Amino acid sequence: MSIDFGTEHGKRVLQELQTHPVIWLTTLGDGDFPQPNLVWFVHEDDHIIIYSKPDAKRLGHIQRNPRISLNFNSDPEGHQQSILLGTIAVDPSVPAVARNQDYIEKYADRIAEMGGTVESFTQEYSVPLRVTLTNLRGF
Amino acid sequence: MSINFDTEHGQRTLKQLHDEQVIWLTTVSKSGTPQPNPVWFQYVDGEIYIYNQPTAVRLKNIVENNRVSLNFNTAPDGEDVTVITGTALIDESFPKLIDNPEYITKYADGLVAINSSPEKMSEEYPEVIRVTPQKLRGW
Repeated sequence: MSIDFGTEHGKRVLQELQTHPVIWLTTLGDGDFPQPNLVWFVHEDDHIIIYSKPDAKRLGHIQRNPRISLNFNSDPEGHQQSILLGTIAVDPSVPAVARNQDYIEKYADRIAEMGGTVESFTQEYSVPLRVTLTNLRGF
Repeated sequence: MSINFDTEHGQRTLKQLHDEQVIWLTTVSKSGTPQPNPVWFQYVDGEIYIYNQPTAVRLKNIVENNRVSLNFNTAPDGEDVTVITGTALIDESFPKLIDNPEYITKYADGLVAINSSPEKMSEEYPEVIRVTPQKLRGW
């Protein structure tokens, strides 16, 4: 199953995927509690790439249950909701941050603002995760 | 376990619980997929109440797995993160919407905006979910 970005809602989601700096990633954590976290990401077709620290608890959780959801902030009244469902896995074939041109273009300024460098960020966030998108909900 | 609202972040969260119009409620479906939805809510005496349509899938989800998360929309760049995890149940003793003047006041404008009324919404959203918060994270 893949996502139809041709609908009106699909087009808006595509635009959000290409322009928004952060997205909520929800995994199932300890005790099967859903755990939403705001993450940086880049979008490629039916995939989203996220980088994680090697000691993130999330890495253990996704091994046990790879099912995740992604959503953007809604508008203040709760309209314009975009909810994506998919699966997530560590993907060693994804280039490291320093070699991921799209990611660098998107986040270089923010990395600098946080007082980091591309090199330090690459070392710190060394585990690439690939989300395969399967469903889009919302309106 | 309960939440400490005395910290700076706790104080902001308490204010959000009183002021915000929309909160994201994430339940977990039978297959283990997190299912986020932006919902209207009311904060009363440490608990969060949500009215639902009888057909809402989240009612089934919380019977299977009562662990849920709540989070507010963040600022566009991802500041002001507030995530609450807790347990949910169906509460048959909470007043119907039509008998809940605080809720009707909170959503007076919202009801008009969606072309509804307290009477109509009370009939359409009779099922009450109560979330008891356990943990707060964010900054």
